[in-house]
Amino acid sequence: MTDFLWLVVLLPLVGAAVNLIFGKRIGEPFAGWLGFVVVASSFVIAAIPAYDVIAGTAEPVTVHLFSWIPVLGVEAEILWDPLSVLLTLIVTGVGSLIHLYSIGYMHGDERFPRFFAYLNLFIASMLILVLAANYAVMFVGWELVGLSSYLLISFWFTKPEAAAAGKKAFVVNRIGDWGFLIAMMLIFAAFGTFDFHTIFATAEGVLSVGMATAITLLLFVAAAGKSAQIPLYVWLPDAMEGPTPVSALIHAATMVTAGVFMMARSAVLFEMAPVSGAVVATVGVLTALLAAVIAVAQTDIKRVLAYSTISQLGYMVLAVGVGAYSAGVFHLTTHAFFKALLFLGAGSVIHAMANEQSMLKMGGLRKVLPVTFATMGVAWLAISGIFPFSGFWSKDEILAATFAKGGAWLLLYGLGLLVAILTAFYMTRLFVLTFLGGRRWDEGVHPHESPASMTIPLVILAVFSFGFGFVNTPMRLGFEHFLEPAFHGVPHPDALDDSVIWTLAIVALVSAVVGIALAWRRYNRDELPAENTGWWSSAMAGFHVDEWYGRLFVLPGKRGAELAGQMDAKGIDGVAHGIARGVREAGTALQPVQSGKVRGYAGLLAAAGVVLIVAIVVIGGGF
Amino acid sequence: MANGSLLAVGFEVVLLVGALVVLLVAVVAERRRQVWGPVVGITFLLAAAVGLWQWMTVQDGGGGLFFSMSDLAILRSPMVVMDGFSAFAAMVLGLVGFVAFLGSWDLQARLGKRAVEFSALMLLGVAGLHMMAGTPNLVVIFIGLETASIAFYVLAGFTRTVKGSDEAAFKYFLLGSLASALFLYGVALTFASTGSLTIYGADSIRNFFNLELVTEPGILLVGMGLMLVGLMFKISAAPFHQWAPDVYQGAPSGAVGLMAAGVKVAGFAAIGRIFVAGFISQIDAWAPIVATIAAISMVVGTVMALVQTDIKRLLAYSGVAHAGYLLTTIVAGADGLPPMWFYVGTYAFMIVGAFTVVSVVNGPGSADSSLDSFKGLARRNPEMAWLMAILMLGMSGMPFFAGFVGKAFAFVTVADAGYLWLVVLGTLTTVIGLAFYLKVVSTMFTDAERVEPVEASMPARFAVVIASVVTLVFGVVPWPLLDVVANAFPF
Amino acid sequence: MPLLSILIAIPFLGALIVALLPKKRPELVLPVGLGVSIAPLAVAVWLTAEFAVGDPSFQFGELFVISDVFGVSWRLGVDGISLFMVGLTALLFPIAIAASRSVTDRAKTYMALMLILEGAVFGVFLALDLLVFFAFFEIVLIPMYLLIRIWGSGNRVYASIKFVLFTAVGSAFLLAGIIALGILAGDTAGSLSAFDLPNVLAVELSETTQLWLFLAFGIAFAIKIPLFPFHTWLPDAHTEAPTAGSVILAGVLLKLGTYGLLRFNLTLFPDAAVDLAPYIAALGVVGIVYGAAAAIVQPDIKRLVAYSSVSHMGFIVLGTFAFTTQALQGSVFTMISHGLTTGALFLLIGMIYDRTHTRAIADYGGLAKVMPVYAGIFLFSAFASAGLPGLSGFIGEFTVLIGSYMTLPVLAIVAGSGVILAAIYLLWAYERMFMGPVNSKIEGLKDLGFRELAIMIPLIVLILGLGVYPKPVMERIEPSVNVILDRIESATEFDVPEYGREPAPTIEIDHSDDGHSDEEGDH
Repeated sequence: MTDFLWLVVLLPLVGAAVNLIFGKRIGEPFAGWLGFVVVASSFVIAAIPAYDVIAGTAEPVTVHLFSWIPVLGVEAEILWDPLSVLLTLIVTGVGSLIHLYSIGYMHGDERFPRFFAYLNLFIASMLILVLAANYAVMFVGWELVGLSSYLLISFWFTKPEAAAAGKKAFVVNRIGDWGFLIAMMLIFAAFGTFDFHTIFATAEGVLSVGMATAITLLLFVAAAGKSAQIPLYVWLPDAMEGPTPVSALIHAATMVTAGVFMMARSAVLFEMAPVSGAVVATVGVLTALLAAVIAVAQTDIKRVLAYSTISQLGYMVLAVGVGAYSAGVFHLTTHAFFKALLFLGAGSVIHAMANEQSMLKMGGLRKVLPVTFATMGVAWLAISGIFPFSGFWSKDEILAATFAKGGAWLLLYGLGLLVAILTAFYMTRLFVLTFLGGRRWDEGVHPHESPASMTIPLVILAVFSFGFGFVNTPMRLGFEHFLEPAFHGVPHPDALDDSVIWTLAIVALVSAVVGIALAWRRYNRDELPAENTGWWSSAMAGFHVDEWYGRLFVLPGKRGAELAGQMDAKGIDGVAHGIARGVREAGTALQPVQSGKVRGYAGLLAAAGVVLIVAIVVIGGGF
Repeated sequence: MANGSLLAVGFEVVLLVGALVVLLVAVVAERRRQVWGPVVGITFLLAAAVGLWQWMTVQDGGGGLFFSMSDLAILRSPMVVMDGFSAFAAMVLGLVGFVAFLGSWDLQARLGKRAVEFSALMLLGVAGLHMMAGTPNLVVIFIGLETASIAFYVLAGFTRTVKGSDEAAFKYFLLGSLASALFLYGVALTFASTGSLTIYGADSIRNFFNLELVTEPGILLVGMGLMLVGLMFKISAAPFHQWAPDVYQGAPSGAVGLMAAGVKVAGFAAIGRIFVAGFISQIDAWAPIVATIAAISMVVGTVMALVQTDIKRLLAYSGVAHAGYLLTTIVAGADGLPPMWFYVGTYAFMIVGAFTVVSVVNGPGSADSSLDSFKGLARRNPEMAWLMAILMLGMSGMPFFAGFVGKAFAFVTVADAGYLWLVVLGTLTTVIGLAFYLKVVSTMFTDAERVEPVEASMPARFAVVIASVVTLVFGVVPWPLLDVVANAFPF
Repeated sequence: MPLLSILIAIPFLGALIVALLPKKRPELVLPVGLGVSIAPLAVAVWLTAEFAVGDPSFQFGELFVISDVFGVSWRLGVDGISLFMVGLTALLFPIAIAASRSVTDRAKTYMALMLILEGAVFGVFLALDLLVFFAFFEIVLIPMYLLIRIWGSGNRVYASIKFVLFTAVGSAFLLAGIIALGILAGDTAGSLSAFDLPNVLAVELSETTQLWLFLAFGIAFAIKIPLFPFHTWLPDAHTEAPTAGSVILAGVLLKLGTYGLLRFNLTLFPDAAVDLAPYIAALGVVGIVYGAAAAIVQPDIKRLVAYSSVSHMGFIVLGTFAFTTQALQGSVFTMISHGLTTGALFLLIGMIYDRTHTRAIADYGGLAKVMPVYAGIFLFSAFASAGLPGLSGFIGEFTVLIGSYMTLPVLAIVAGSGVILAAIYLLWAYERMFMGPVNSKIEGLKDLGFRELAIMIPLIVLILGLGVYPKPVMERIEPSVNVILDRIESATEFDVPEYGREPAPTIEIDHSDDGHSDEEGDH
């Protein structure tokens, strides 16, 4: 059944090409339907062979397509193992829902077909990334994802902010890619191949610990770019300039998880490098904390979600750092559902509010947007970690795994717990400010529930956001066992006693409840607290990290570039012009000798003749 | 032997007879140019044909030494030599003379009735030039030198009405006489030290060196030095070049081509004959000197040409540089002669062509010919502009133009002789040279206020076309000429 | 059939035909020129198809002795490297000519010069005699000079002469070096000199001689490439040249330098090459960073792309001197790819210049709204140039980087930063020109027409095709590249490291960049 897997990648590519070239003629809404159909077909084509894998009746396989870069031994191959199966289903599944949603959301946009072309391209890129059987092909997907993200963020390019945000996303991602590139240099030098199977099977014998540390740290740099970790997270909040479905699909559910996915894929290497694990975990938890703190102060509904995404990605990275790869991937999955849901819900709200994004101007939308309200409620509880919503299970597992490592890791656990409180706090703040309380709408805004093409995806996602957690509970680790073949024998984190597990779960639940309660008390009233001074405004501005980056890196970089530009004109060309001038001046200096006076010429002729004769006599030995 | 003897001096005879015929015809035809003009052209072509005949005879083994009172005297001290060297010089000089004559057609139109004398002097001058190449006798070389020089002194001053022409002729005469005197003094000292005036034969200088062990070379070296100074002056090698820019600028454009080209050909023939054939055993003494002069000429010629704003002065200085490149071949001794012939043979056409273009653009008698006058030529007369571009690229030593082939093989032989530094210097000055040759090209493509077309007469166009064709053909297909010059050896 | 001679001859004859076209029918010039330039393309395609894959020797060889005495021959042949250089040339010329419709002043001359240029470039890539190679190498200057001088923009007089003088200075050393080498070869070959490649390859050179000759050859090629710090002629020449001139300059002429290094410096002077490799590669890497940095601040889009060329050529140099089969193949591939992508960018800039007559980035803004198709193709080309995987630029630069790491790890890592800088300069320029509010000056511009699309499509197809399936190219390059490596290995102490067969260098050991494998030293 894996014979047709290549179609999974090809279909969205074809969809993208068709919409790109003929989109104008196809027009709205058929261009959108075309985009939806190709992705949905991909989902179906992938789902059939996936069933065997999920049922446990199929071994992981590699499907050879063609030879790509012979000299590097890079084959274009599809790796069909549990990890890629899972991600493929998420990407095509959530992807098709978002396509469907976009048909309604993008209604009336003059570049409607172009949008679906880009969305299709993104799906294809993401599929290349997750289905790759070696690092080189993965890098192709990795970069193409960056490209599609660039195209989609700056989709409304006439807005200077959107244009700048797209560029920023791509450039920051490329900084991470540099790490990926160097990691690949080291990998190829060590293994002579990029093939996952060979690398993971032989890593133990080939790599020293130092080498493994270097490679994994570099891979982490790459992951930090894509999965928006400190210090490379700065592009993600700006990426909210893109249309909301884009934020849902790319900057919540799929692309940003690529880093986590890639690290999980490289679990064997990370397992060999404990130092990297510590670094990764620390950065992860710090990112989670910083982003959560910033999220608390945001007033733009999409920016809250953006920082929330960074924060949740921090959790996933933490999971990788502590060696709980399947927990990380589990959170990735649940997060894909509830964060996509949150974004789409937010989109629905923004759509209803005539593109108003400030939560301070919302409130009381519960009645006018009942479906959005209900589905977002599910997502709210899921991300806050309320039992038995999916987020509870996945977040709990990460925290438990961190706790299980003991020692200094307990500090990370404590921070993780703090983030859980903050998460519940800011999500409640968002939920309350948007849907509850009084109406703070601008004049002339008449919100209304979105069309079915938008609400159906919300409902489906809500179902998953609620129930997906049950695939992996402490009672039944189905998900973990399912993923096992993908990790090439990397051991599970230390198991804890049942009693400890349940205690930790209750602690986590209590923190969530505390967070919700605090926020509920603070915001569920008519008079909102003033949050525009001091600490709040600083957090609101993301602690001015962008400005600091500008001062520390961008400005000196610009100066350096200008210097390079000037050095050409003054330095190198200066020398060249100097030589030219020198030759010229030599000529001019000799001009006076050319006086035109016969006497002078005769004199010089005689003098030169004398010199010549003396010379010839001396050389010839005449003396 | 008698037939052979006549053939050996055939080139000079044809030209002298031609000169007389032209004068006569002109008298009969009331100086109508349409009548006597073709006679001049035919004479030059006939002379070239004689050169070819000589060449073929020599290749068949019919060359040799000629002219003295008796066979024995010929063996001891011949006056004329017919070998590949002189025959090739004859072919080149005949053709160059022909092209130069075509190029001076416009000038002759201006000269009116005096044009006949002008043409006759051209014929006589070329005859003198070949005398320098076709004799082993130092005194005959001097006579040829003077014959040619006197003709050219007159040609330089032929347009006395034009400001500068007079001055140019006078300057040329004074300095040229000084150089001739030095040369003659060198001949005398050579005779004093070796007892011989000839290069071949039983009493020759070569034999002197073969037979005697030279212990006191002082006088001989001074003699060689003096001859060298005289010849360096004629070929305008630096630092003996100062007359050239002034004279080239002052003399009528239509006449400068022949002066520049012919003297280079004959001058190098004489240098080759005297130093490479005659004083080859003294090469260690003169080669470093010649190499130094070559280097100075390349540098001075190039650098000075760079700052010129007058096209004729520019070409004069470029001629100084070319003298330098040519001298490098002499340094290589006998190996250098084939590249020398290739170089000077093709360069002669280029320079004649270039001065013809100057005469077309600025008027044939003009003394002043600023580079600016070439502005917009590409629009005013595209044909002339492109042909001039070909000539400039040829002189600059661009590949696929004859200048490159000559230069490349000159450098190869010089490098083989161990003078790699000369090669490096040569290639570098070639680059700087590119700057001013391209300046000429660039000027032609600069749009000017003057847009009226530049008219070129048929003969002038023909002259430039021939020069350009030679430049191009021997650049692309050099091997026939390479095979020829490989045999253009002195006896 | 002397196929290669015919290949060289076609454009020259075509130039003659164009020159002889009747003056009163200027409309004939473009079709005739285009027709003539398509013929070599057909020949090149045929050559590529008939080329024996896996055969490392020179194929379709021809030999005619020009001069016995001087040892000069008309020896032609193609191997896997020159095959694609010829192909690139044959492809870019028709495209550049087709894009020259806006040249109406002296169109005949223009067309003739373009064709002469094409023939000369074929000559460079096919000649296997040093002197003939030099002749073609040098003559390329003249048509290019005239193209810039006559049809260039504003500062053309300065730019054209700067172009010629910079490159000619290099040629001076090259000629001196060739002559010196020819003299040495003549001793072995029994003639005054010998310039034929087999003869020249047979010469045993001392290390000192190699070093000097390497430098003589190297400086000429370094200027042509151009390698930092000899690159300053390039921005001026590119900027002032007419569109077709820029396309050819960037697409083809710069490759003459890298081709020369690969063909001559590496094989003729292997000892010197191994000794100097780290330094030259370092200059290449400086070029990568420096060119990219300078590109960022250029206010003129054409200049920006010109500086990006400096950066890309650095990758080629790095790969050339890394001495691994991966890096060398990557170098050759980058040569091809850079020709396509930069060619595409210059064509696109030309198309917009024809409409607005300005190259200043600041004069644009919101162009993507006015000319969406144009914007799409521009972005495609920009990303191809920035090395986006799936497009041709990536294959070459990626292979170079991976291949260089083994011998020059530090340089490879620094070179990798080029990917960031490329993204910055290209996307920033794109942002300023194509995004944001529509600049009132450019409102109502027409999007690309059919003719312009037809010009771009072959390039787009090739960029994409080579990016997805580079194997047909790679497998033809490989044997020829390995010949060069074999020669270096057999002539010097250097061993080409094998990937994955030995413990990878750890991060602490950096001195493996001295060009020698430290396999012995580590155990």
